[in-house]
Amino acid sequence: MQLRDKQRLALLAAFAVALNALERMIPSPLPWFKFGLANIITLLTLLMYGFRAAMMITMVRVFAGSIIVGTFLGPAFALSLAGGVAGTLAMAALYRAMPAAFGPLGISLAGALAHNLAQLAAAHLLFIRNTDAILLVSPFILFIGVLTSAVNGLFAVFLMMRLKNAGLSIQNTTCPKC
Amino acid sequence: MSVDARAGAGAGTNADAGTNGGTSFDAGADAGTGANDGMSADAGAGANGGMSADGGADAGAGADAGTDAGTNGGTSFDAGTGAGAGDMRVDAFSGSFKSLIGGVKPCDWALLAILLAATLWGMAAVSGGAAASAEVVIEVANKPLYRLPLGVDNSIDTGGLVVEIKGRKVRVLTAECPNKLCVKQGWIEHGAIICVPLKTVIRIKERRGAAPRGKGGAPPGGKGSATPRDKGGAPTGGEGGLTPGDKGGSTPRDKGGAPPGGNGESAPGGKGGAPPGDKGVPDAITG
Repeated sequence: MQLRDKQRLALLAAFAVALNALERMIPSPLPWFKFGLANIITLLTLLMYGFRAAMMITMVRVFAGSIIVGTFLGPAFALSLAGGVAGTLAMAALYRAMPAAFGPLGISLAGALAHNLAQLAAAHLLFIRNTDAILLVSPFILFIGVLTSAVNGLFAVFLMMRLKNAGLSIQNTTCPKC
Repeated sequence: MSVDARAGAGAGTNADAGTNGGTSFDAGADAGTGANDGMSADAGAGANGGMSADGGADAGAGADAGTDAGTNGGTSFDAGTGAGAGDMRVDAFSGSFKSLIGGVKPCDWALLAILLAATLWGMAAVSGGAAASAEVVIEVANKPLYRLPLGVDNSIDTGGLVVEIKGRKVRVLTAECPNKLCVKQGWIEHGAIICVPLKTVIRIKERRGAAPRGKGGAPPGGKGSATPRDKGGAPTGGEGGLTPGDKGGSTPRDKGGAPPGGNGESAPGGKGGAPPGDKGVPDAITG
């Protein structure tokens, strides 16, 4: 991996952490409702640099993000970690299995689904041992997840196009300044 | 392969460097106001090996006048970004929207549709199932005397007061109390009827440790019955939360909707309980 790629990954990680923190400032209609904007960055990283880089970004986001907002090693951290890892794994799996079939939107949807399922499972295992309650909430949470991840996926489509316009052409050019 | 070094608000035509081995500097300035009245659609499209994403952007006000002279062997992206300073916005929006949809594959849409349908179905099933398990609890003098399923039509005399359950609704048919406000309240589908003189509380509640329906806490689209948030409101307690109507003081057992072990923001739905302003259940204290 070239130095420039490392720099870009660092930048992407910073974006992810920043989005993660900024997102908390958005007034939320429901206490557990989140857009998951940082997943846009994870998705972009996956598409540009592959699974390992994406997982790295996720880890940086989960750890650094939780330290920044003060939830490190707390319950929210556990859920965040579970969701982040599962979401990244799912996105990478889908992307690897069927790279031609799905674009960023589909990958984002799959990621959000896995993310939410993992969070619900973790919530059940760690905090709320009431299966009925979890089962009752889950369709609603998953539904919200579909909506937000669809929006995120469209963001990612948009960004990928922009990056292709600007970035990838530069990437392939021998540019003395870069 | 091509670097598009765009110079903002230039006029008219793209001076494309043409045949420099693979690296074409598209120094164009796709100025909307200038020479191209939308007619000019990317003269060089033919030779760009297919990848040029011009299509979307050029629908904008100032179309791309780029004479992207052929030989750059592949990917030249003249798309949405290729806007002169003047009409950057127009181009960026109209172009990006089209190309945005273009960047979504059929499988993506299919997955979106499937997931939407599945989760909507799940929500319907959950709320339906919860509603089916609702029951009518009749308490007299603070003791729960009867627990009857809401779904089964029934009629019962609790001692001076006849309660009728029919079609998932409950009413007090007759009552031996002075004002008969409980009778006048008529049918209820949720909430409670309270008769103070006879010390009788008739409540409709969910069975599974869930708070009774409250429209107040309902998320968008939730219409009272079994909203997930309300479910989460009492995740551990078996007895569920508090109907607003219970403020009449009739049931000492209810201690509000706060979850015993609710751990803050972490657990989805574990937060909040029945919101303080959770009303919308038309309870009436009668009698």
